[in-house]
Order: sequence, then structure tokens, then C-alpha cells
Amino acid sequence: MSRLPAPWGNRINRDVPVTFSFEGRTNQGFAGDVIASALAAKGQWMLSRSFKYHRPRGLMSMAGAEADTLVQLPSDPNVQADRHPISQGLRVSAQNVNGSLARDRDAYMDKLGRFLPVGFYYRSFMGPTRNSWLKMWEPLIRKKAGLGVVDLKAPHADYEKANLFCDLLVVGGGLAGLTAAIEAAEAGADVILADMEPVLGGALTYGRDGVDRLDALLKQAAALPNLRVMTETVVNGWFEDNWLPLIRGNKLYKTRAREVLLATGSVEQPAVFRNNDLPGIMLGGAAQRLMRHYAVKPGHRTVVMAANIDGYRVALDLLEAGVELAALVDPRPGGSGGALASELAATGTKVIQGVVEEARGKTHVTAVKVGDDWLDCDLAVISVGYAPMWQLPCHAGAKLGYDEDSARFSLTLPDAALGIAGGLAGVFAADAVVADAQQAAQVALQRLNLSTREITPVADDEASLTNFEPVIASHPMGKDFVDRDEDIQVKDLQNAVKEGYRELELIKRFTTVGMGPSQGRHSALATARVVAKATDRSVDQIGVTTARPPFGPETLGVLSGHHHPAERRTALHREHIRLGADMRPVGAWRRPYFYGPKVDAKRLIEEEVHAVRNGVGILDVSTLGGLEVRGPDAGEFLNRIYTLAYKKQPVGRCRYCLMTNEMGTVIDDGVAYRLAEDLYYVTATTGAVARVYADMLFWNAQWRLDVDVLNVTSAFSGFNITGPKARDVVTALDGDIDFSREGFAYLDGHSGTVAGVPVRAMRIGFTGELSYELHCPSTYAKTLWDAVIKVGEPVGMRPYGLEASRILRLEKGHILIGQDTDALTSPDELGFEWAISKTKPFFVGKRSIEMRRNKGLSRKLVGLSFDAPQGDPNVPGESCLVLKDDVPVGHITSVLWSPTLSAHIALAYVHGDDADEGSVVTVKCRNGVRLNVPVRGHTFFDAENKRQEL
Amino acid sequence: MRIYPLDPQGAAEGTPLVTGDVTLRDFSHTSRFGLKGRGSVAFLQSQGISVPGVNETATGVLRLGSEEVVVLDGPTELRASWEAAQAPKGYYAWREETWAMMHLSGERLFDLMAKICPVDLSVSAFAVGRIAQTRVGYVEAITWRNDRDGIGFDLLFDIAATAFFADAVATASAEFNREVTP
Repeated sequence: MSRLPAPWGNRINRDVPVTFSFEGRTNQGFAGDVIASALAAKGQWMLSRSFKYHRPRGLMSMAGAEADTLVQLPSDPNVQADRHPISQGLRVSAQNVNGSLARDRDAYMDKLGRFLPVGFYYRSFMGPTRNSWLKMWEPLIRKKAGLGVVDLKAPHADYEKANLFCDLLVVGGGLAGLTAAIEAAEAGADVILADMEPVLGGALTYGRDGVDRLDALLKQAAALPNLRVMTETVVNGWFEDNWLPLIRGNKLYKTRAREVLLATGSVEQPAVFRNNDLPGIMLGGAAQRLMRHYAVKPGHRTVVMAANIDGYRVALDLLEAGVELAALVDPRPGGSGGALASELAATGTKVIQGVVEEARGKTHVTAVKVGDDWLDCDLAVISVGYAPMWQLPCHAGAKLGYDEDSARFSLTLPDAALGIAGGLAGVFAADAVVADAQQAAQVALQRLNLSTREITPVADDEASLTNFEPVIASHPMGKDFVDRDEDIQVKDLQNAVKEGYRELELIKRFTTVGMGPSQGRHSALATARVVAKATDRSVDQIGVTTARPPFGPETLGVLSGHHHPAERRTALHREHIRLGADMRPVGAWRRPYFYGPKVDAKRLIEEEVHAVRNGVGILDVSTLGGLEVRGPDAGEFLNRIYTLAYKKQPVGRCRYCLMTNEMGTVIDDGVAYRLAEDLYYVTATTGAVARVYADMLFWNAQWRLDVDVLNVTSAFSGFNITGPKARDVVTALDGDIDFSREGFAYLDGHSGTVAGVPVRAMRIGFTGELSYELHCPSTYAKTLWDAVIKVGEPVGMRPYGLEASRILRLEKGHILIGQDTDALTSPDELGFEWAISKTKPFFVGKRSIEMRRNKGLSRKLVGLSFDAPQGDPNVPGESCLVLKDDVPVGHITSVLWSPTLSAHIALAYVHGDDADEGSVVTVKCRNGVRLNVPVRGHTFFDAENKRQEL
Repeated sequence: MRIYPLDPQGAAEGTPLVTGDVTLRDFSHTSRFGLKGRGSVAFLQSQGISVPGVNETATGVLRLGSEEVVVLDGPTELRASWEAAQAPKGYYAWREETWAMMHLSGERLFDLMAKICPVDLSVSAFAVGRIAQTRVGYVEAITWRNDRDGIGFDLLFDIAATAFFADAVATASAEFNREVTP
């Protein structure tokens, strides 16, 4: 089929041929063609097979609104053939076919329709046997379901995000949107005009009377620097406070608009009759788009079904394009053509009052039935009415109503900075649309406090002829599709009502009507009419199903944007790398897991443990949370935040901190070092410090104490020097802190200068060994580290990593918040009664702890050990269950091989009755083996604490 | 010796800072005297320092809260004066340690800021002298217009995220080499 001569084809460049392939066959189109237009120009009208029955399908709207035009590209499924441009070498194939598009082996499904009634899957997939779903249906459906194929080896693509701001966002660049945007921009507003098409103009670009008007508007728009035009941009939803996602290609524009004006127009509605889905049957707008955008003649001989003026316009266009008009079928008594009726009559066109009742053809329409007559044709054009694009206004809270007299949906807007104009507002005649859009812009301008002017309203002389409500009767032989995406016929909806489903939201879920890619754009109105009739109610009472964002499909890439996992580095990051550390993420931080080559990980980690137990090691603890609590009420504040008492804590001493929430659940722990009467330096766990800081600010705002809290996590770095030889190291450092046994007792804290660096030193540790923790401002960290490393060399000090630290702490029986605790863990369950002040009148969680204590312990954390060689599978892993009388009562929270003890050691929750040392509990390994092991205390190593208090 | 992240041996040593359509420069060595808590503003005023309104900046003084202030490149004796002063005088905020300080400029500056910051920082919406406490480049940040040698923004953010921030800016600005933004 050759192209129509210019000026038909305003989007194609006939001088630039483009070669592409479809279903393995080479095709040629022109630059500017979309896949569907280029194929149609070559006579290829069938683009896909339908979802359920595998019926041949082609283009209907040329607006990217239905599943029938979805095709497969090599790395991109579900591409809209009626919107996606062709490009040189593009390889396109059909979706949802078994074999090929022309010879689909699943086409027999069309004959099985009566065995696949609506909702059949709810019944069928339950049987015939208990496991039928898993063994039969699920594999079968997984094979058949879905449309396109995801390319798991798709090449990398860049997805971008940006924020946009404007006074007024106009959505839709047709006559109404363009006019409103110009009106507002001329008044000084900062305007964004977004449209999903590649060029502005909407129906003006393909309608019969739009070209001159469009040229003038485009010139006006181009002259306005404060009017930003964004074409090929989908406004994919409306969210609270006028926040709208604008998607253009691979970029998401997160847009905040002070005012939003929706001019998204209306969507043409198909007619319902038997075989209304055959290729060659299309909406009037589709025929006009094919001709005016792409110079494609949509057929040779046509029947036009027109229930509005636009149908007459299409008929005249088709005649001008050389298409033989077999007849115009007008269902409206008195005709729908208005002033155009006589113009059409002058062409000699036969006008029949009636409706198209049926179509026939195998893979393309060959005739339609009107009354008793079959009219031969290869094109049937339908222009019977519109529905407003209600999705975006409904996202914003608009209500959709239905006017029985005009047979149209209408929108009632919420009280918000939001307006509608043009076809969306039910205005159709061009002059009336212009006035309506100008007035809508004026309303927005007034709310923006910009200058306004009076707009004279113009009557819409086409409004009464826009829609016509036909009688929709189920054809005895079916295949009268209401929803082409989901292959839903009239009888399916009627049967759903007979099944007892009266409400549309339930009917939708039972039948899947409106669940396809078009999301009801082409089916909602007909569905409402069918259900209204079947339930003897009005269309207004039925309405449409809830519209939720997104408006159209959006890729995960667009939602994701750049992949930027957070990364924080301690001041010693480069030093750790220089030392060969295996750096691993710990929350946002990167920490050394161990030092040395990965192949030797196990040996190296054990060596690091032995170094600490037998000599001395150094661990970078800079990721520990650091908080300064300062002010006259700092002690009182900590008394309320933590479970122990701090008000009388001596200056220069450190004290353990246990934090509970209002439920009495343990949420963090750390150490408070009192530097001065009004200054505490408090550590928190790496993962929880942000939450602890937020909680402190929250409570401080409640209590209004004279306290200031500062998060100094990044500001301070810290190293823990630990092991029997730790004192040898720190006493060798130059400085004014006395690290001797007499001068620096266990849990002491001293501030001073070490190696020229201001230091906060604490005698605390996590290993059970003699330990000193040196904290300093982070910019000095490398200087201090170097000094410590230098004096540590003579005694063989080596840095150790996170895994050795985890082993050392478990050997000593220290808990890890978040690993050995969960969202319900109380201090009593941890055996931490010693950490609860009995004299304080209040701390957060105190009352809950007492109430929970009164209820008794349902579980308790204990130590377990397993006498099995390293790597033995008969040792439980973390999360393995602890059983009592075959019922789970707890689980393993931590389990590791202890190089020091040559045994597997674990912490586990056991039943409260079994928590005493010596009680035997049953643990189930991953391989199912059950072990009976005796309970022991938390502390596996140096239970008398002699080593850390050396 | 003090070492900031982008210095030799610093945590972000070797991390490239973008130049071209957008230029990112490091000013983390800038002296920052920060106070927070009761008495902060009064102390600074007693030192003859003019303190602007909340979320405003003037003459190198950033007012981040009713009692939270940072003085950039302030008098060297300021800390000694503060330590010698009687409370209430605010509390030391360690701003030279908690934050990195960087500067963004370039022809595509505003396009970049639109990508990495959710606040409208355009010339018409964000006046010189205002401070935005927001997120920039996926990290919490404080930013304000500071036209050093052309229009630009100064930024303060978590010093531990220096390399991450530089990488985020580089990734975001890479788009300018690939396509045209509106």
C-alpha cells in the first residue's frame, strides 16, 4: 500500500528511508514512522494475538492505549508499536504467540471460549487434586502468562532523575493545553507544558480543521521564555501537594507545581459488536492519525459508524484520501453530523441510520453487518463517543459522574490547586475549548496572585452531539469485546452479575475487566453501561473503578535512577586498604573484615583472634556512634534515657549504657564517659546511632531539660588496642595520659594529648582482654594510628578485622544489639537485671520492664556449645530453632567456631524454664538433626573477668 | 598533622572531582568554628560577630538554628575566647570534623542541583543569603549560594561521605555529556 501524497504525513520524512524487521521480515518505512504506521503502510495490519483467545489483533487507537499493539524488541518487552519510532536495523517481533504471528499454534483457544467462562480460573486452578496448582496449573500458567519476554542480559542503560518546579504545570499539549499555557505564560507565570506526543497540538495535528490554528499557537508558545515545553513526556500520576512524576525516556522529573491544569482531553470509545476486534476496525482518531501523521491510507473501502460530528469529519477525510466510503452508519435519530451532514451528503455518501451489529473476516475485516445487510469493506471506522481522561484528576480526588442526557462522564474537582480544561472538561468545539482553556488559566493565575483578565465564554455547539448511548446486547455467538486487553466479552460481565457480583470493584476483580494495559480507557464506559443494565441501575451509580497512579507503565529503571548505595569511610579507609584489608559494607560504612588475601581468610581470621588473646591487636572502631550530651542537666537526661544511673557517675569514669524503648525492649547499648560535670561522651552501636540520636532529640524536646545533644560519629575516630600486651603499647606512646595500671583503672576515662593528638581514652573493650580505646578528632586519626602502630611493632601488635572482633566478643559472651536481640527482647531475657537501676524513679521503658517481669520470662538468652569438629554439619546455624516438647521456643542468635576454645559456641534463646545452667535443651540443625545440649552461661572465656581487669 | 579526606592518605584520596560543565572543588580545610546550644548566639555577638536570621548566612556566618551557628574563616582566637568564657556560651560543635566542605559551580550548575537536590535552588527561587538544610547527592547537606568565581553553591555534609558525594556528583553530571536537558 503506497503512501498518501503530501501534505498527508506531517510526521514522516520521505527523504529518509528506514529499514527494520518485523517477525524476521525486512520492512522499510520513513524517518518519523512508528512501528505500526510503517507496517500498515506495507499492508501488515495484524500486530499481535490477544491475551486469552489468541485472536488476531491490530491497531485500534494509534494512541498507545491498548495491549493489541504491544510488541517485543530485543531488550524491551511490551513496546507500544503505535508510539515507538522505527530506527535503522530495529528488530521487532510479535508477543503472545506460540510459533509465529501468522501461524499461532494457540489460535485454537478462540474455539474454546465457552470452556473458559469468566472467573473460571478461580474454580479450575483449585483442582482436581490437592496439589494441582503447584504441579499442573502454576507451571502451565507460568509458561503461557505474560506478554513480552524480559531480556535478562539487557545492556546497561542510564536512568536519570531531576526535580522540576513551576508556577503552573499544564498537562496535555492539545488546543486546550497550549492555549492555557500561553495564556498563563503571557501573564508572567513560570509554566511547564507537558505532552506525551513528540509534537504539540494533540488532535490539531491529525484532525480535519487544526493546522492553521496550531501553527499560530506554536509560534506564540515559542516566543515565551517562561513557557517550558516538554514533549514525549508522560505525566504518570498526581500525588499530594501537586507533586507529579514526569517521565521522558529514561528520565524521571519529580515535579512540584504550585498549580496544575489538566488538559489531557478525552479518549475515543470503541463500539461493542461481534468481532469488533478484527484488524481493520479502528477508531476515527486512529484513521486520521494514520493519514495525517504518516500518510498511510487505512483501507480501500470503508464503513464509518458515526455517532458524533467527528465521525463525519473522519468520513470526509477518508473520502479526500481516496478511500471508498461504502456507507456512513449513524445510530442517532436525526443524525449526528450537524452542519457537516449536508457536506457529506453532497459527496453522495450513503447514510444509514443504525448500528454496526457484527463484523466478519479471518485476520482482517472483510464486511460489517448493518441491519440485515452485509457491507463489504476492508476498513471499519468507529466514532461513537468519548470518555474524559479521568485518571489524573481522579488521582487528585476528582469524582466522576455520568449525565444520562448527554451520555457522557463528567468530572467534579476537589478543592485544590488543580483545574481542567477542554475535552477533559467536556468542551469540544474549538472556539469553546479556547475560551474554556483561557478561563481555566485565569483561575490558576488568580490563585498565583498574578494579573488576570476577563474571558468571554463561548457556547459549545458540539457538546450535545459528542456521545450517544447505544443499546449493548450480548451477541448470541459472543466475541463482542468490551475489554480487548483481557478478552472480556459482554456475556462475561453479564455472567459476573449473575454470579452475584453487583459492584464494579468486585466485577473488576472477578472478570479482570480494566486490568490490562489500557486500564479501562476503552472499556470503562461500556462496562458501566453493561453492568448498569444488568443490575437495573444507572451508569452514574456504577461509575468506574478507582484510578491510582501510575497512569501508564513505567520501568523499574526509571523508578530506581542511579544505583547509589550509601558509602561512608572512616578516616583510616586508605590505610586499611594499604594493609590489605578485605573491606566490606557494614550498614553504610566500609570496614575491614580481616587483613590479607581472601584465599587465606579462615587462617588469617584465626591468627587475628590469637594475636588478641596472646599478644595485642588493634581494631578501628571509628564507626561506633558518638554522641556528646552536654549541659547542666546532662546527667539527669542520661538517667532518663538509659537504664543505669549517670547523675552521680564520677568525672573520669565510664559506665555501660543500655537503652530501652517504651515497650521495655532493648534498642541499643554503649558506654558513657563523663568528661566533665556537664559533658558526657556516649557511644552507640554503629547501626543504631542515627536512631538513638533522633530519640534523644525527641525526648529532649519533650522534657525540655537544659541539655544539648550532638552527633559526633564522623567527627571522632577510635581504635581499640586490646590484648595482654595492650598496656605495653599505650604506655610507650608520647603524651600526658598515664596509662599505667595504677593511673588508668578498668572503666576509667582520661583526656589528654597522645602523640600530639587530642585524645579521649577509655579502658573499655569488647574482647574480654585488657583494652584501651583511644578516640580523637577524625582529621588526627591517621597521625594517632601511625603512632600507635609504631610503638606496637616491637610487641607484635597487628590490626584485626570485624570477623575476629565478632569471634572475640562471642567468646566473651557480649551481645550484639540487633543480632542477639529482636523487637521484643527485654533486659531480663538477656540476663541484664544488673543493668537496670532499681532506685531511679523513671527511665524510658522502666514501667514496661516491670510489667513484663511480672508476667514471667517466656524465653531467655543463654550460652550453648557444641562438641563437634570445625565445619561439622551437625552444628546449628544462626536462626536454627530451639525446641521444647517439639515446639519452637527460641532460636540460635549467634554461633561461631572459637579458635581459642576449639569449639562451636553460641548464644540462643531457650524457654524460660530451661535457662538455668545445666538444663538440657534441644536444638534443630539445618539438616534436621536434633541435638540435646546443656545450657551454660553467656561467657565462654574468662568468666571471672580477670583478663580485662589486669 | 590533620588529614582531610581528599588529602594524601585521606579516606577519599584519589577520588576524582568533576570538572567541565560542572566543577566540584574541596574546601574542607576551611576553618569552621561551630557552636550549638544555649548561649551560642549571645557569645558570638559578644565577640562582635553579627549573627543573621535562622537559615541565613552573611559575612561568613551561618545561622543553622535559633542556637546553632557556624563561623567560616573566623578570627583565629575565637575558640580560645570561647573556652575562656563563662557559660552559657553554647557548646562546641566540632564542625571542622563533622563536615566536609565543597563548592559546586559550572555552566550546568542549576541543572545539576535540580538533579541532586530536592529544593528549588534556581536564581528566582533561592536568594543569595539563604541556607537550605536538605539532601544533596543522597546525603544530608547544608547548602547556600556562594559565588566564588562565578555562580556557585557551598556545601557542608558528612565528612565520612566525601568520596560517595564526589562520586554521586560525577554520576549525575555525566548525563550532560550524553543528552540535552530541558
